[in-house]
Amino acid sequence: MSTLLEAPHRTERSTPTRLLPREPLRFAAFARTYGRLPVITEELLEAVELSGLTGRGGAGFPTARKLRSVRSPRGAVVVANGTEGEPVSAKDRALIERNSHLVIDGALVAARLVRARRIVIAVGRAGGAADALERALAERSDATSVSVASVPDRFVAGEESALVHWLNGGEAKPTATPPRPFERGVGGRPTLVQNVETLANLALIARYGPDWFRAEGTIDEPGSVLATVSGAVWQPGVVEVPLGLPMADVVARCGGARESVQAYLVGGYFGSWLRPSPDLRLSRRSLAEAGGSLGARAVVALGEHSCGVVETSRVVTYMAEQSAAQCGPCLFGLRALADCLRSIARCGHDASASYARLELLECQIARRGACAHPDGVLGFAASATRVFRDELARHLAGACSALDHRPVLPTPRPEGSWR
Amino acid sequence: MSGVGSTEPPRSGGAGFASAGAGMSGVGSTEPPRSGGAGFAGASAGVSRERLAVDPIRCDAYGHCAELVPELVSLDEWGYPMIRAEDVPAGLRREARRAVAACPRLALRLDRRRR
Amino acid sequence: MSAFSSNATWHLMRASGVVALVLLTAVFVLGIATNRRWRPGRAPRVVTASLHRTISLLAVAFLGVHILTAVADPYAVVDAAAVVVPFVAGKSAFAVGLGALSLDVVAALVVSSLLRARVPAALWRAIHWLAYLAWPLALAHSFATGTDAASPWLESIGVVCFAAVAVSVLWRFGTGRSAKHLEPRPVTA
Repeated sequence: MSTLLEAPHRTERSTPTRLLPREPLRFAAFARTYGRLPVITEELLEAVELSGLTGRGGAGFPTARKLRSVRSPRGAVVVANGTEGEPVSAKDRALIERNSHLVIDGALVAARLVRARRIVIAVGRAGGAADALERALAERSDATSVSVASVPDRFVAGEESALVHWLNGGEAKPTATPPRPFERGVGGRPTLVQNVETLANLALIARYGPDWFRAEGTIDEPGSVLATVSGAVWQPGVVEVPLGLPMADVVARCGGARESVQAYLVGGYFGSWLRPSPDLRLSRRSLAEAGGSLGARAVVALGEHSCGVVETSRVVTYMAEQSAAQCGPCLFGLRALADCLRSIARCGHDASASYARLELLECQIARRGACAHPDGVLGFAASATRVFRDELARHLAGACSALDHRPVLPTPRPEGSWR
Repeated sequence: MSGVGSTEPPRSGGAGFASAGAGMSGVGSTEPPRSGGAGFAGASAGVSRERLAVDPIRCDAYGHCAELVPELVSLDEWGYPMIRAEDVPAGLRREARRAVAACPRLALRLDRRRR
Repeated sequence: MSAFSSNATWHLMRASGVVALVLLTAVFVLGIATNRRWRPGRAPRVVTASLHRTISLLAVAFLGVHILTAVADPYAVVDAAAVVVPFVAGKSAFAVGLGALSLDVVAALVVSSLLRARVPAALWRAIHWLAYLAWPLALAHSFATGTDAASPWLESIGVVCFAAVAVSVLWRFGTGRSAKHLEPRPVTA
């Protein structure tokens, strides 16, 4: 790594600006800010390993290991996953719209490392991500192997096997594995599916090296990450923060809370509700200790005047609708779960019976789908029964204590086909 | 997605939901596996290192597997198979193979574990 | 060959053909019953599927007799080639050809099902759909080849078989599709 570049200056400790510029960067400005991409050699793989970069899409898999597993003499494929089917996460869209060139650079770096001849950047259809990428690609001449694919707007469409299935001509629904994409994916070739934020970090490590990367974050969880914060905060949006930042500071970056926060939803609709605590940090370890997970760092602050039970019910209904309907336990189980939660949310006369049914439903849904969708929903709903225990008891007794009935969590209607 | 299709039968006290004190009167609920294989009285000793598993996408709730080898497969309330997450006892190997062959969707399979 | 035995061959050919047709009809109906998840009384549903498979083998056995006697019979003028290659027999080439076609499809059905675990699932399904072709061909063959196709009892058998198949087809496509393929009902929040 003898040709390291000068990294752009960092401002304050908790506001790194590595990934997310304030304004979208055209190629000239981008080149001025970040410098040119150096020649990529095999040494970069080791640098990635030293940097400790992990997947930024939610699973958090060590990136170097993933890159190594895909290397193939046959010609691999790189899929940059910017689909972001999670309604409460907007970080991938923000990254693509403001820093397309960094994402493209990252994809090119990954392609070089896994010897891929084809790169696809997958984005959702809603929003301007596809246009931003096409504009960026038009500004450069080194990305002829890159194409942009607009994938159906569905929650599960961004799942690895679903994405590969769609790129192969099928519906954007998860498939049963084996084979896994890294063995046989797009066009039968070994395929690397990597989140766009991970790839952007790859482009940064290629320029500035692993030590620079580790200057942010913690020792176990290095680097800065993009987080989407919404709900009861004054300035909801996407922020770039170092891993390990206390949740209170994350909220402060977004203008602070509008009202007292009764719970955080961390990790999106596959995540968990968590009680606010001064020990809570935006890191895998801290969230795991609290019974949650980092996921794609989508954080929603639920104000004290809203009802966690009602919000949970709305989301589970949405997730039941978003089922690919390929597996009976997911299709019917989530529907039944949604019915039970709706009955509880409405304080219906059958609310107690519905609550009693939850455990049996869980036994019949857990680990019985072809993908993680049903399990993610179960975890989310279960966390609600723990964190909103008191409110749940009130609902079972026939009353809801919410003062603000406006919906907090977005539940967009499914539109368009799976193809 | 490891372990797709290899699931445990309903057990009381699901790990997720805060206990509701619910009764376990479930359609198709079977007893949880007991230690020592005590549930298979009369079966010859030994396990085969094979395990039944279902492809949940192919499965269409015909229910033939649960009829042919009820010791290992029960049905949830929607008619889909819940398979015991344990090796097929030697005495049930033939029934297990018959169930795999009988599935109209070829969704059931026998996985051989390599230890 | 004496006149008696050749006459017997001819009758055996006709009889086994009729039985084969009836059995093929039963196989067809049972196949649809399996798909519709029908159970005979309180018996397990797998019984329906099992019957479907067993009777198909029985049908093959009777088909075998039918073909062997057809080839052996001096009056029927069907040589071995005409059994599987349609429309090459001399007399009544068309009628026999229908039978040959039907046999070809039935053979594909049976062989692909016996080797089911080794055949790609999509291929097996595609071949199995050809059952909707095999049965009408068999029926057409039995009426086209008959000097006694006009005999009333044979006609009644044909009508009953046709009715059974027609009702089964209505059952298959008229009643609801299997659960997962129903459009998920829109859930009102």
